[in-house]
Amino acid sequence: MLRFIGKRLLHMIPLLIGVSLLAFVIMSLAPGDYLSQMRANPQINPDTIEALRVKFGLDKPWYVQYGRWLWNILRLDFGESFAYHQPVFRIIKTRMLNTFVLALSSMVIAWGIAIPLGVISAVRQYSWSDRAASFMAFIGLSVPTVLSGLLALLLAARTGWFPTFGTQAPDYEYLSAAGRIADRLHHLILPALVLGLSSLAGLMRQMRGSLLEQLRADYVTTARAKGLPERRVVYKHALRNAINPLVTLFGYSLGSLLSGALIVEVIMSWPGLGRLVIDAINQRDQYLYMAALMMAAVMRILGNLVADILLALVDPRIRYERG
Amino acid sequence: MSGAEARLQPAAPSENPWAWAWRQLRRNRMAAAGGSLLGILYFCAVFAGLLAPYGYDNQDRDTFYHPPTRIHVRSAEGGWQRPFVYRSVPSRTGRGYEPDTSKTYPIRLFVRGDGYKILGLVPSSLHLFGVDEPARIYPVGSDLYGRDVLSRILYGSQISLSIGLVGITVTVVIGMLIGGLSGYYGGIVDNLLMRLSELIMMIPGLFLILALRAAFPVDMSSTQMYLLLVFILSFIGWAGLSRVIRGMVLSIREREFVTAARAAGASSLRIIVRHILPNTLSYVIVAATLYVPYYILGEVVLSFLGVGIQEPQASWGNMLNAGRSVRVLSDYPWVLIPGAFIFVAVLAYNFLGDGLRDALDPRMRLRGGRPLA
Amino acid sequence: MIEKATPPAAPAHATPLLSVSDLAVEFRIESGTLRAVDGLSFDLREGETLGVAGESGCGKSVTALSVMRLVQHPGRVAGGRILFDGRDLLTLSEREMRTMRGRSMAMVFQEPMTALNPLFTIGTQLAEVLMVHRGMGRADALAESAEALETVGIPEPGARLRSYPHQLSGGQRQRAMIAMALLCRPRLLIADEPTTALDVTVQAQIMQLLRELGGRLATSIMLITHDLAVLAEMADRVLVMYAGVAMELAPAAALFEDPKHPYTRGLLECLPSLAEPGRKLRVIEGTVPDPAAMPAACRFHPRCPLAEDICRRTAPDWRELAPGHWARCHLAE
Repeated sequence: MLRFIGKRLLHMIPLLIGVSLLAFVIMSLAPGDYLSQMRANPQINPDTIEALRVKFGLDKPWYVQYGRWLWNILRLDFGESFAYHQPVFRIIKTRMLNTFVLALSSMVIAWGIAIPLGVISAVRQYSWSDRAASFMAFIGLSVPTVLSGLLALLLAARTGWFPTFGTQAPDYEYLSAAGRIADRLHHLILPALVLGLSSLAGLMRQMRGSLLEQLRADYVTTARAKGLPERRVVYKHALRNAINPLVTLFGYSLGSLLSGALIVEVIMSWPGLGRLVIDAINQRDQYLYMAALMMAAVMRILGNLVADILLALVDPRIRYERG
Repeated sequence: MSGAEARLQPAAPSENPWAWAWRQLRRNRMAAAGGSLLGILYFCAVFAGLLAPYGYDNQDRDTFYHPPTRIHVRSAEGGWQRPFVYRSVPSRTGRGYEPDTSKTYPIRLFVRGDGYKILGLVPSSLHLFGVDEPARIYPVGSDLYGRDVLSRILYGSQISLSIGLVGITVTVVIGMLIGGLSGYYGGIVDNLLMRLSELIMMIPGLFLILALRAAFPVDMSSTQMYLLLVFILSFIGWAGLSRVIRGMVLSIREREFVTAARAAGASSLRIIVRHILPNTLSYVIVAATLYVPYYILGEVVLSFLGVGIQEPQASWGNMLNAGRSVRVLSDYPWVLIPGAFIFVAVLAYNFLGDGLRDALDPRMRLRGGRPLA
Repeated sequence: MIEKATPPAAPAHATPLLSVSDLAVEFRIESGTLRAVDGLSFDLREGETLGVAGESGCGKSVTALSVMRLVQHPGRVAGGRILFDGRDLLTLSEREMRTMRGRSMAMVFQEPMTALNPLFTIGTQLAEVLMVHRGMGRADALAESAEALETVGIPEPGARLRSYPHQLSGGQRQRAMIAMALLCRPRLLIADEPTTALDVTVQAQIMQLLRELGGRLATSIMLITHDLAVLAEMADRVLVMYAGVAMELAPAAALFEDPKHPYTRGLLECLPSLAEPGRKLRVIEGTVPDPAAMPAACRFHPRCPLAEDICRRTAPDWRELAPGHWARCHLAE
């Protein structure tokens, strides 16, 4: 198993290098750079701008810049942000954590509701509760995150039940420990719900479909022929097999979650990685942009890795083939 | 086993698989509903100019953020009257508007108004309904500049709905070509293309879209912007599609009818295009239908963030931008109505895609898949 | 003709172990209702092996599943009686039926790879039966399962308990399935095409195993297969089905020496014979009918070389033409 993980981690490296190259090339294609807006400003001395240019290394051709960036990365130096005048790593740290918390809690919500709902739906196929749930799921996955985010914002603004921005209240410092936790949750819940909604619907349909398919399998007939109670047939035999494709989904969903998180972060003013990327891209804040993009790619790759590991743990066929 | 012998869907032995699929599709209520809904939406898009009371850029600063216009059918005396509206004037309380009941403005049908071109070709100025100046009719309210939201929604649908179709067509063509070549030839070409697609898929979609958008200048004409959006969206989409097509081609390539074609002297390109790819069509049709919503949403998000379709052009995305301000959203919630349209379009495509999948899924067919070529 | 072994004497008990009368099984599909099995009647006596033969789609498997009451939606048993040990299985509650499955009656399926759960070890799947039906603890159940594996001829049974189905060969998987079915010493074992998915050499071994164990445990076996040669070796009596109805039922010897139904005769003629080397392979003209378009009256008449007017107009009765030898044909005698 360890060898398996090791091999996959090794495979990650050329992938990440490739992604970084792609990202850098795209960035370099962009006309202008961070200093473009400064240049447009007649009040700033062109010499100052030129000095800054050299300082930031923007005078070198793109492949030299890339090489330098790569070399720094290997020494774990992520560079400095032009706009914030701070080491990129420090800026990214908190933002990444916020995005991670948002993504994770939305996953908990989505999976926590979708799995039981999907199972119940499959077990009671053709019943009205199944039809209703399937229909609701269909509606749910058709609602774009943009819309659900704005609706949530509207709800928060009109009812005042939820805050409309940020991860914590202004007077966070003065709250007790319990108060702080409650405050955090209070700020987290609406964004997490919005983000979880779209994955919830799709997941529920997947679970339902997967379980229905397993219930038609031969080994289920065998299990019934053995005289096992139906509950055992469904929850022990069929469900275990039905979970398999979802495990893979679990890992891959992290990637698409990041895209959705970006939208939620923008709409509900959640200070996460997504918003950072947008700002960095708009300002051509090179190193910040690269680091943010790479972090997003890393999260996605790690998600895939987690999916593969989980699958190997759950499915003995894969486990024994890999050795 | 459990009655597998009898899980039959009767199909006449010589029936064309496409005709059979069409029959299945028509019977699927969801697909029919989706298809009809889309038909209505696209019809409205084509005839946006006719259905919209105003042009998309028709401003009236005096009636900004006006709520949906109340349509009255009872006159001041209490009797029935043909539908009319009152002109709105700023409310005496200082907030919002109140009606000026001194004069009624009946809703007229087939009026002359702002000019437009149907499908960009046929000029016209006919509108389905409207009211005389200086009254304004806002079926779902007005925006910051006093422009009719419904009109802008209709004009916006032209962009948001067409980008989906154009984008998916480009993606399908590229994806099938690359997937076909990759799967058929294998070797270095295959390796390279698949590595590239893997890299593209590694960056979360929206991040990549934004990065690509930033690679281009901020100001461009609306046509250029439109084409750019199409290009960006298809750039994201081809990777996933081509991988699946490649997998399918790999297995189809080994089937006997391909060997037969090769033995008959067909060139490789001809084999790929005429024999192999048509067998992937059923999957492609389903996938394409289910992908379109992502394209629509891609444009919506880009425009929403301000880097897509620019003012004064209307797109469902940039109209939603108004909702980013909590105050505006809370006081004038009708700015979200474009969102409802997006939802309906996505829903319709999902209905249709689901129905198509049921109709074309080979597992449902009893008489095993015959090559379509 | 075919060389066959002398069948063990079937004890002539007064009450058969299994008695099926007038069984009808329907499937409700979009365009209507299909009858997969219609008016089927046969007996299975204690300790005997009944062979059920017929082409694919004739309803053999559906019959087997009906006996175990495992027919799932959209199929259902539409009529008839299934008496097992005097009780009508069709009137039992699901709970009562569950106590019988795996205990008094068991089933072995055709494709052991898909019939076993790929995610659980062999040991777990076998022990389950004992734990549910005999209330045994896990350790005891596993120990007995190991013994069962040994009985069916699987080497290193202890180690095999911890194996997963995909780690065993096809033959071993089938042996494990048989062991699993016989754990509770069922009175009736239904084997649905148990060797069709296996190599020919393995086939013979598995059949041998079934015969030995069946004899040793005095289990009645309902052996379903399309392979008549196998039935010649194994079966005491044979039931021939076609298009969902019974065509002929007779003691094996009688069936092979004096087949009374044209369909049976056709089937037997299709078998290649060592006695006539170089003879062209015979076929039965036509194809199995589409269940949605079943021929009227006698279901076999479109393909029957002897078909006459009456065959097209009236459905033949199930007649006893000789002691214990039944056939459904106007022209048989």
